[in-house]
This record gives sequence, C-alpha cells and structure tokens, in this order.
Amino acid sequence: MRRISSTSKSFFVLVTLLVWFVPHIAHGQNSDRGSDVWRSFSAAQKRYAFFGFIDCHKRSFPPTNAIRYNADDRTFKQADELADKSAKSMGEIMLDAMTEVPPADPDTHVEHGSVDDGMLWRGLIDQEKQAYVQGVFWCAQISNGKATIPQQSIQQVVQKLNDWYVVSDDDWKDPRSNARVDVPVISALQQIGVLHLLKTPAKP
Amino acid sequence: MANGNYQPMTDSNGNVTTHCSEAACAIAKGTGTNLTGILYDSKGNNYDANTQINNLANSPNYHVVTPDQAQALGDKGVLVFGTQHGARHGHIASVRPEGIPGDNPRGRSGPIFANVGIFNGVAHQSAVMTPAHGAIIYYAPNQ
Repeated sequence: MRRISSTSKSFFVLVTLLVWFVPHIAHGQNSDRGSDVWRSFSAAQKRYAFFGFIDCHKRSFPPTNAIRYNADDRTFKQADELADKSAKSMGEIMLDAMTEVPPADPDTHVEHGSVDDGMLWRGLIDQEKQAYVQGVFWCAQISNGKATIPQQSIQQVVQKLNDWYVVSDDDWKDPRSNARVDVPVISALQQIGVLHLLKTPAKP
Repeated sequence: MANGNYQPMTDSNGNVTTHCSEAACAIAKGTGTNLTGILYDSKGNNYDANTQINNLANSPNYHVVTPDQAQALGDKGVLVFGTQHGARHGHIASVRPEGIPGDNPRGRSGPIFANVGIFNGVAHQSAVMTPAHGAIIYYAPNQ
C-alpha cells in the first residue's frame, strides 16, 4: 500500500512538473509570465508592446468587428488593471483591454499613416524594440497556431531585425537600407524566419 | 515632445496615428512665432503636415537652408523646420540645439530634431527620415 502510494506520489509530481515545464520549453522566452513582464515595462514599452501585438494580430486573424485595435493610454491603464487581477495570458489581457475601452473620438489633428516599417524600427531604442517583439510573441501565444515563433530570445530577434534593416548604416548608403525601409516589421520577421503565419502575408 | 497628448496611438483599425503637425503648431505658438496660415488656420487648428510643408515652401517669409545651416540656426535659437513631404502623410519637426544636457539623440547623422511622431524624443535626422521617401528640406525664417 505504501509502495503504491509512493509511486502515485512520484507520478503526480512528474505530471505536475511536465504540465508546468513543457509549455515553457515549447514557447521559449515568450513564455515568461506575461503580466510580470508587462508590469516591468515603462510607459513607452507598453505602447510598443501593443503596437507589436496589434501588427501581428491583424495579420494572423481575419478581420472582425468584434475587435477594436485601439491602443492609447486608456488601453494601457486597462491592461495594467487586468494584469493585476487576471490569470489570463498577456495576449488575452491585451485583447480584453482593447475590447473594454470605449473607442476614442476621432482626432482630426493627427497624421494617419502606415508607420509599422523600417522607419519605426530605426527610431526605436533597444528597450522599445524588445517590447515590440514581446508584443508579437504574446500575439503568437494566443493565436492557436496561426502565428508561431521558433524558440529564441527576444534579444536575438531584435538583433536579427537590426541586421536585416541594416540599422548600423546610419547614412543610408547601403542599398539594402532604402530597399527594405518600407517593409513592415511583421513581414521582416517572416522573411528572417522568426515568425510563421498561416495566413499569407500581403506583399511588402 | 513631453506632451502626453502627442504620443503615437492607434485608431480602432490598428493604424498608428501621430502628432507631428500638431506639435509643430504648439512649438511655434510656444516660442511666440506667428505662423497663422502656414502651420495652422485662423482658429489655431493645425493643418496636416503635407499642407504645412507646402505652405512653408510657398511662404515669402521662409527660405530653404542646408542641413548644416539648419543646425547652426537651431543652435542660435532660431525656429527651423525639417520637413519631408509624403505620399500618404508628411513629416515635420523642429531643429533642436545641439548639446543640451540630458539629450541622448537617437540616430547618428544629420541635424537634431525635437521629434514628435512614431516616437517622441530627441533624434538625428537619420532616425526620423530616409532619403528613400523623398527630399528632406529645411526651412528657416528670413532674417
């Protein structure tokens, strides 16, 4: 009886460890407890994490009216509150935050345009780039396989993108700099083999 | 740059919206430079960046300067604008004096901007504009 109980206990511990560790191994760096990472972010990092998440989500999922991709200070505050009290993944929290915050009134004073490309990447500092990539990772985690990322660290991904956009070419003399500057970061992530989307991406 | 209202955001479609033209107005008004009809209308509402750039180009009170001249004037406290007309939207930023304590500009080459756009902060031209997107033109007021 004691022997059976001991075996059962060991089995239970083994199963517990597997349940805990296997998803973490499978998702690599992007499996960090999202809400803790979110809380550690600066205001600017939170902004760019949302931008990365949205850029990935828009391309991974078919358009739906159920999701408003509004990312502004109200959304970040809502995500703060949800991260404190919710056990959901950070990607789910971000979606919830955007859904729960009412749409903002249209702002007629702003510039509208696509700024999700190489100019975005060149302009961001390292911590902001990491946050953007983290947002993409959080999107991939909740995508049910629509977006997948081979195991690698966020810093590795940042470096790969820096190399691909040739950000070291500060004088824009390398022909690759200008040729690639209009490519969205999400497309660049696909081209360098970091991100795989089931949905065929639009050609840059 | 520090104005929270000028931070980049997204609309409900996930498209990023930025505030360079609005910030250019605020800087002009804050420095006592009357740019009615150039950066903003008679009610103080900003034009979009492309319109502002066209107005600067056509203004008899402004002229084109080189990047080096732009920085030199900016260092003297003259309000100089770096501009790039865009197919979808343009970009405008004021030139910031070099060597302000605490500044750690992004990028490495070209004049320094007080940039408001996809990021808000101090940056060299190279981190904000690329020649691939068209001419980068600096406008200074006539003395």
